[in-house]
Formats: sequence, C-alpha cells, structure tokens
Amino acid sequence: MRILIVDDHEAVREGVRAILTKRNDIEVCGEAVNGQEAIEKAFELRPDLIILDINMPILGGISAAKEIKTRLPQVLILLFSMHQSNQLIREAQLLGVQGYVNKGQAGAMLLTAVDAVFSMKTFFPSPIG
Amino acid sequence: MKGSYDYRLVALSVFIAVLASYAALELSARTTAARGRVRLAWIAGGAIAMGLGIWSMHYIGMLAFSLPVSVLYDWPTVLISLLAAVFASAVALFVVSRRRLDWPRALAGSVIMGSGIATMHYTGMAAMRLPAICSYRPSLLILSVGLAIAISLVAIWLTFHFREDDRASAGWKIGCAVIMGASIPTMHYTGMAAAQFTPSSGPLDTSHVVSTSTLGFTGVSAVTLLVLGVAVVTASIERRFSIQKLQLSASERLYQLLVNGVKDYAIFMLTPEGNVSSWNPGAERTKGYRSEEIIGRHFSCFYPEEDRSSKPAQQLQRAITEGSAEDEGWRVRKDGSKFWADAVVTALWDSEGVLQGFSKVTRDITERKQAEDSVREVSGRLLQIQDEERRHFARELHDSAGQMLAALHMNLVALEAEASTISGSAANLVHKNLDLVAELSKEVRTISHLLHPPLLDDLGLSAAIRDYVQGFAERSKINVDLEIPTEFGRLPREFETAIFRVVQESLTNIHRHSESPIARIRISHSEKTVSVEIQDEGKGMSPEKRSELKLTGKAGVGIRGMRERLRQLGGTLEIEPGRNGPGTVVIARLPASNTRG
Repeated sequence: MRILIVDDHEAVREGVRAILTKRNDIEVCGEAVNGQEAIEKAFELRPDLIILDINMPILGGISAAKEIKTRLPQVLILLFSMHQSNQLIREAQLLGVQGYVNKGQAGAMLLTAVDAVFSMKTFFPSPIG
Repeated sequence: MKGSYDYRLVALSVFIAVLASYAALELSARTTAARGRVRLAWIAGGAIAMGLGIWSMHYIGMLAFSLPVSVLYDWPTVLISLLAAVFASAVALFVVSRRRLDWPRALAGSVIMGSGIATMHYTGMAAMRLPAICSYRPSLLILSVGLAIAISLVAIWLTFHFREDDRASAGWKIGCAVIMGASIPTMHYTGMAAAQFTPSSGPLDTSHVVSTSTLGFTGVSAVTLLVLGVAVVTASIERRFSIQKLQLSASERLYQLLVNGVKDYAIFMLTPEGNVSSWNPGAERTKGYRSEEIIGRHFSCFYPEEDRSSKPAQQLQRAITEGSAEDEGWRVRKDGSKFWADAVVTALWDSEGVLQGFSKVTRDITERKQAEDSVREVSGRLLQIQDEERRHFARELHDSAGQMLAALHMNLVALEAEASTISGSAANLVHKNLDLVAELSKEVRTISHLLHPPLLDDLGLSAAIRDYVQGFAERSKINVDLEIPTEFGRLPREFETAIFRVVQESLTNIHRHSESPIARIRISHSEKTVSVEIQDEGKGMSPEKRSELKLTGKAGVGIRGMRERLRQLGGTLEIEPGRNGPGTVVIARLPASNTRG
C-alpha cells in the first residue's frame, strides 16, 4: 500500500511515518506540505491513500480533497485534523472521503483507520459527546 | 368769668386724640408704601381722618369746658378751623411719608403742622359767640403755639421712625399713639388756659350760629370715631395685603436672581402650545439666542431637522401625561452647531388643573457624552484586543503545541513496541509517557477552546456554533433548537467572533439564570443585516431589572461586553421579554454591508 502524507508540520509528518513504517505492507511514497503540493504529488505518485491534513497554508485539506476526488476518484483519502468536531466529521462524510482521524488520537487510531479504509470500509469516529 | 371742665368729656377728647394719632401712624405707613395716585388718595383720606380727629378733639374739649353763659358757634368759622386741621394733617403725612427725613425738612414740617393746629384751635375759639369778651394771656398763648410745633416735631419724628411695617410692633405703635395723643390735648388745654373771658353786654352777632347740644357732641364724637375707625381698619387691611405683596415680590426677586444667576443650565418656560415665554442667561449661553429673538417662537427650533416634526410634540405630550419628560439627544444652537443635551420638560398646572405651560431645563452635556463615548470606545477596543490576543494564544496552542504533542504521541506509540524488546521497564516508561502526553494534549485542547474555538477560524461560524451548541446541550440538559442557513458562508473574523461570543454568553445566561428547559437560536443573513436571536422560555428578567437596563443602559459585565463588541462593528444588542409567553429574547444585529470578508 502506497501512502502519501500531507501535513504542514514536519514533526507530525515524522510521527505519522514512524507509525506507518512499523508495517511492512505499507510504503510511504511521499510527503507534501500543503494542499496544492498534495494535488501535484497525487498526480505524480498515484498513491493508493492520502493522509490529508485539513488546516494548511496555500490550499487547505478540504479544497484539496474536493479536487482530488473529482480528478482521481480511485485515490482513497483519510482526513487528518487537530479538530474534534462533529461538524467536521459530517462535512468530511458529505465530501465523500473515506475517513477522518483526529491527530490527538492518531497514535491509537491511525493504523486501524488505514486498515479499515483499505478493506473498502469507511472510518469515522462516533459523534463526540 | 371762670369756666369749669367736665372731666368725662376731657377724657373722651384725649381718647379721640390717641385714636387719631394711631390712625396717623397707620396712614403714614400706607402713604409711604403707596405710589403715584394711590399715594395722593392715601394722603387726602388720611388728612381728612386725622384732621377730623384733631378738630373733634378740640370741640369735645370745648364742650367739656362750660361757662356760666350760653355759648354759640359761628359755623363758617368752625368749618375754616376744620380745614386748618385737615391741612395741618396733610402736611404732616406728606412729610413723614417721604423716603428720607432730614432736620430742615422735619422742622419745616412741624412748624407748618404746629401752626396749622394752632390756627385750628384759635380759629375754633374765634368761632365762639358768647356774651363775653375773650382775651389771651400772651405768655401762655406763645407757649401753646410753641407746644403745638414741638408736639408736631415729636409726632413727625416718631411717625417717621415707626411707620415701617416690619419695624413697628403693635405695642410700639400704641405707645407712640398714646404719647402723641396726649400731647395734642396738652396744647389744647394750654391754649384754653391762655384764654380769659370777660362778660360784656355788647350786641351778639347771631348770624350763622349753631348751638352746641348733647346731640351735637354725640354726633361729632360718633362721626369722628367712625371715620377714625374706618381709617384704622382700612389701613391695617391694606397693610396686610401690602405685606403679602412685599413678601411675594421679595420671593419673586429671589426667584429671578436664582434663574438669572444660573449660567450652566438653560431654564425657560413654554406656553401650552410650546412657544418660548421666558429665557434665562443660561439659555442664551447654551442655545445662542437672545431673549428678544426667541420669545414667542416655537421650541421645536432647538431640535435637529429630522426630530423637529415628532419629538417636540412627543415631549410635551409625555410631560402632560406623566408630569415630566426627560430626554437626552442632539439639539441645535442658533448658529446651527449641535450639542448633546439632557433636557427635562415639566408640565405646569394651576390650582384648577388648567395647563399653564411648561418649564424646560436643558443642560449641555456634550463633554460628558464625549467622555462616555470615548470610554465606551476604549472598552470596546479593549474587548477586541482581548479577543484578538485570546485568538492568538488559542491558535498557538492548537496549531503549534497541540500538533507537536500529537507528533510526540505518535512517536511514542511507534517506540512502544520496540521498547518492550529492550526491557520491561523501558516499555513501562514509554507507556507512562504516552499517558502524560495524552493528558497534556487534553489540557492544551481545553485551554485553547476556552480562549477561542479554533474551529471558528478554520471552519467558520456555522460549524463552530453547531459544535458549541451540541456540547452545551449535552452539558446543560437544555434542549437547544438551532436555526442557521446551511450555506451561511464566511464573515469577517471579528464578526464571527462577536456572534459566537453573543451566542456563548446568552446560552450561559440561560443556563445560569433562566431555568428554561429550552433555547432557540435563529441566525439569519439578509441583504442588509446579519441578525442573531436567542430566545428562552424561562422566568424572564424581572420588570425592575428590565427597566433599569432600559433607563440607565447599565447591565451586567456579560451583556455590556456583548453590546460593546457589537457596537465596535456597527451593530446593536437588544434584550426584550419573550414574544410569546415567558422568557427573554436577545437580539443582535450587525450591518451586512460591513461583512464582506
């Protein structure tokens, strides 16, 4: 499985990479630091999955996801954000992405989410109370 | 030929003299107080009353004196003697009623008056027709004239000094009257002592004679007492009125001094129709009109053009129904410049309940208003700066610290598996660190959310409010009904923050104070305005609290904060009782023209 990591924070990208590289069946094929670069890298690298941060400079994750969804519909997308928001989760669902992972819970949830998405399921946290 | 006295009649003559003196004191006071024709009337009436008094004293005195022969009187001469008494009294009243009395004037007056009395006396003596010749001892004759002048001087002096209404107590007046009243008979009886009657058998001129009789003396006494009595009563009634008038005019003068002394307040009166009817220097200073320019004009000219047609009439109407009406607002000076005024109109009713007009007190409080405005401006700016700072800290925590903690957490997770291959204690340590990081992340998230919800910036008002409302409903167990258009779009950051704060503050108030089981939020966006309504069905604000809020504009920190935030952005905040049934509704409005982000 080839995964593209998109986040403007280097530390976060490294953290994600550290978790993903634990698994032999996962290959981190590239990294991008904003939405614009994410679109470009998506076309260039054709990853199976993009872990896409929402708040980024130049172009945000939501806009990038829309663009990628229309132009590369086969690419799976996991939105990745600091926000714990039911609204955001709903928005992500409406957008048609495959999943949503909160950064604060990534250590525990990220691999579960990746696996779920790869087995053609979606991964969204249950509404926060 | 020796005469003898009937002492009862002597006593009556003295009493009439005292009464005449008392009348003189009263009359002179009236004469002094009066002006113009009224004064002349008082002098004329007073002189007649006094003259009659002195004259009748003389004739009663003559009646008291009986000679062994019958005595008749020549009435034209008697009449002349009466005129002499009236003339002497007129001179006396004229002298004592002047503003000032100096020695030459007093002396001249007393010489004329004394001579008049003496003339009256000796003319009266000359009117006697009897079978005897009357001759006078020169020394006593001169003494009697001298006494007449001296008595007049004392009388004038006493009268002048005790004529003032407030200075002379009744006791003093009576004392003076007794002294004066006793002196006139003294002169009379000295004059009588100067007379010597020698019997003669010459022919008696009996043309125009009248005899004195009991009836005559009774008539003279009665008429005199009546005239003097009337004079005294009239004078004392007049005095009472005059004192009232004096007091009234004194308080009027004080009132005028007060109103004219006030320079910081415009104090003026309006007719029932609203035309200016009086004007003080404060009004001239505040509004720029001189009194001759403004009296008679309608007071609506003090209002700015846009208020002129409605506000002045409303103010008068409110004053009529509520007694008075206070208003703060812009007013216009004569030169067209504006000032911020605090004005009170009070309706003035007479004792029969007929509207006499209005009093209006206006103060220029432009400076105070400016100071208040700038305080408000500063506090509004402070709130904005505070919001901005909080937002900044929240972003830092959320974007920087939060992200790093997330990265740290992931790194520790990655490390966890490897640590267990090294040693149990290493694995344990990593595990503990994971817990610490999770704890720390939660702390940071809570703090940043309290400072400023990061979602508001990243996803906009709609999402942030939906999230907040959901969380609030779960915490408070209050059912929140939120109505916000799905495609609400984005507003400038300050607008989103202000609206979010209003919703947050209102919901907090509902939770804390209203006991309402439900809250309704309606946010709408039209061409012109963005409006936010937050309504509850709780116990509502007490009427006292609401009227305080309305009258003074004073509100709790929370409401004031909301209001200032909105004012900074050109918006308004209103708090009203619930529209259908109990509760309260908070309405915030912001101009949409300012909201192009």
